[in-house]
Amino acid sequence: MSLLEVRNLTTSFKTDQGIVTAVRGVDYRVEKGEILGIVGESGSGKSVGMFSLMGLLADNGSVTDGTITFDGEDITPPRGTDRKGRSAYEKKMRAIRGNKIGMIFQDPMSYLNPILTIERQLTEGIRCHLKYDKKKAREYAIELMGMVGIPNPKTRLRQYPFEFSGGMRQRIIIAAALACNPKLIIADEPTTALDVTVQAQILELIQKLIKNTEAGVIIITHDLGVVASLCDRISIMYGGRIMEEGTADEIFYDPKHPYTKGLLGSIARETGDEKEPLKPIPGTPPDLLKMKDGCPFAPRCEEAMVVCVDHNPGNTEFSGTHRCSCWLHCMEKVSTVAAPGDGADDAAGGVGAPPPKGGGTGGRTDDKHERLVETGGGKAARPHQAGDAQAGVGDDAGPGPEKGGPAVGRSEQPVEAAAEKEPRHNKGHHAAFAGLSKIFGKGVAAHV
Amino acid sequence: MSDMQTQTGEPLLRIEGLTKFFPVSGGKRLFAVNKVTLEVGKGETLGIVGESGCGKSSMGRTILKVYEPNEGKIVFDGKDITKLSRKKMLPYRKRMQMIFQDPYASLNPRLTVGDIIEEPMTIHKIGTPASRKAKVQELIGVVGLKPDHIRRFPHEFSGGQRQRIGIARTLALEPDFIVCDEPISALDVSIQAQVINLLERIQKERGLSYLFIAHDLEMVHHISHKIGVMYLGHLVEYGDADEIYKRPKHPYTQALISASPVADPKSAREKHRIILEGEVPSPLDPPPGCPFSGRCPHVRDECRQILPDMYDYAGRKVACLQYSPKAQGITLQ
Repeated sequence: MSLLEVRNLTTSFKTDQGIVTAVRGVDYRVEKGEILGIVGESGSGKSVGMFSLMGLLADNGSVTDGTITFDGEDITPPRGTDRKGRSAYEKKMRAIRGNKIGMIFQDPMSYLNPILTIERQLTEGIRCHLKYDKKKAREYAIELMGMVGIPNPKTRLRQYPFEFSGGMRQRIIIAAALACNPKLIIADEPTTALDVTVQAQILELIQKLIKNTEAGVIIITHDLGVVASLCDRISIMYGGRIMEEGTADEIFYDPKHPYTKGLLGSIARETGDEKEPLKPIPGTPPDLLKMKDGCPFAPRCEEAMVVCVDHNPGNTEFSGTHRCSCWLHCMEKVSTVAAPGDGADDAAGGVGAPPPKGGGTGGRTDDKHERLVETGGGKAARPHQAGDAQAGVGDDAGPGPEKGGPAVGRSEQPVEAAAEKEPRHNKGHHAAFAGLSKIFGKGVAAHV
Repeated sequence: MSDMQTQTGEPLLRIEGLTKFFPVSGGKRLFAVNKVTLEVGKGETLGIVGESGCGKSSMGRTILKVYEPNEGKIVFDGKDITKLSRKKMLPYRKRMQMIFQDPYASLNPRLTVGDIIEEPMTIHKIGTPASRKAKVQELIGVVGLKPDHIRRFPHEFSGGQRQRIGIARTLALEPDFIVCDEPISALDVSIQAQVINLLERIQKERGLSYLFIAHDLEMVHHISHKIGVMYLGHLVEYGDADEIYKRPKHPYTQALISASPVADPKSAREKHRIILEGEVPSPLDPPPGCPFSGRCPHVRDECRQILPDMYDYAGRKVACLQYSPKAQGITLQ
């Protein structure tokens, strides 16, 4: 069993402008002793996902779907406003936060209270969770400060946060996060506020300390350089969804998703003697208020097809660790695609293996994807087709007059029909969930 | 690089021994920029890297005389502009412009995009209202925005688009030289590359020179012809970008380059990281001798007493005693 398993996590915020769904059906797992990197740009939902799992969302935010299992315990925040459920959840989380799950935040100055001494802040968790008395807690705090490389811990313990530099403050936070021997450590942009040479110190410290524990670690960052050297596995997030997940080597040397490829093309990398021109991703990050059900990257994707706009692709598995959520790869590997009808059944029945079925449904799936290939295949013809087809899909009209039209119209029918049964906003998640449950089914089986 | 010189054979910009200090309480002086000498040729990009507080932004501002320099000389296009009055400086201001780090703070929220881009031309009394409007139209296209953006306000734009607006405003006066003060630090990774490509394209089309200030070493290496590395107000290494990036000589440059995370798991695993002890000391209380002596892994006794000059070594300038003519003579023997 995984240390942490998050399934189909969905988090929304009520704002004056409308409901913003910052995390849209995200799945991940962390094993013991493993470092998972979550990479995304601002607004991709990478931090909100963590706050959701810690139960630290702002008042206007709530987890609207999904389950979170940590160390065998269900820590999914209760939905609705049931007072009893909420207070029971709060009680449970108080025992977990800072104890079984340690957190390292981006900005050490706003995390530390400026009017309390370091001793007070560092021993608070120790006294609360480990039930140490004041003297023992202080001794332990001194030991911790030495461990994270703060000179003169005895004197430094009596000082206030403003007397520490940025790097030293971050060390204190790391000490506090590790104090209770947590099983899981979440580091949200741990080095973003630091200078390069100090960043190197902190990353080395994190790496060294983690080696000595069995803890699982999640590192959230926008810096591909940080994850490259530190993480075992990497999840790439965009627009509240996970676009691709794999080992560091799989992500950097064999990226599958156009967004991952775009990110890697956007950074200046040393490759041979020649400076390669940067290949930026056109367009701008999505407006979370105006998101459609389809792939969030579709508006900026150079390989976007008609299906991408309104339908979220299922996951395609490339290896035990590498999966990607993109229609391009669904075409290659028809069998792993979650056609909502069959996929949902699979999920409900708990069927793990995703081989193509010989029966009627399987035939339909194959047929469907043949059509998709047809639709998106011709790059040159795409703009023309896309225009027609979008209209066709949008108003559910019958076959259009163009060649591309009928194919799209028909190919979309199973998806649309299945979606009719579900509330509209759930459609995409449902598809994703169906695909993922297969993967998780396998993953869990392998682990047990 | 003959085409990088102006007709007189002079570089476009030359600064010599430029010093800027700020008086602070207790009669002390904070030396933000300390005797910096460098050149920027025509059509060339000089990248300035260093950690926060090393004086790179102060230097950019002092060059544009936003801060009055305390010592040293600024020579722009063959003319010493160090002591020019505000009024006499005006024609030079047109030719020397700046792109700021924070695209949220540097655009007036009450002006439309069109007004923002037009404003510098109005101030410098360039053209007629009609010709200015036409120029705004042109610039909007140059930076990759749409004509209907002209009537909108800054808050309607994303960070990357705002940076484009800032670039259009900078280009309105057709400058020869632009100080880019961390123009991409506030932007998302995918947008950074867009802005860098835009800056490179404009440079190619218009033969502009950039002083590109940033802390992202990979990006600075990517965009720059030459690199200058700063530490505590001092320039410590200065020369060809590729040379410095691949074969750094100053111990600080070596540490900086080895510490910056590479987005490549294999080389990250193989890479030998130099982890420096401690942090950058306060510029109010710099160590005696070499500013880097307190953290340098190769420090010797003399480093704590003598402030090194910029020595010529391996085709660049390095401010480190191990490359002084004396030390080189000794090693040669």
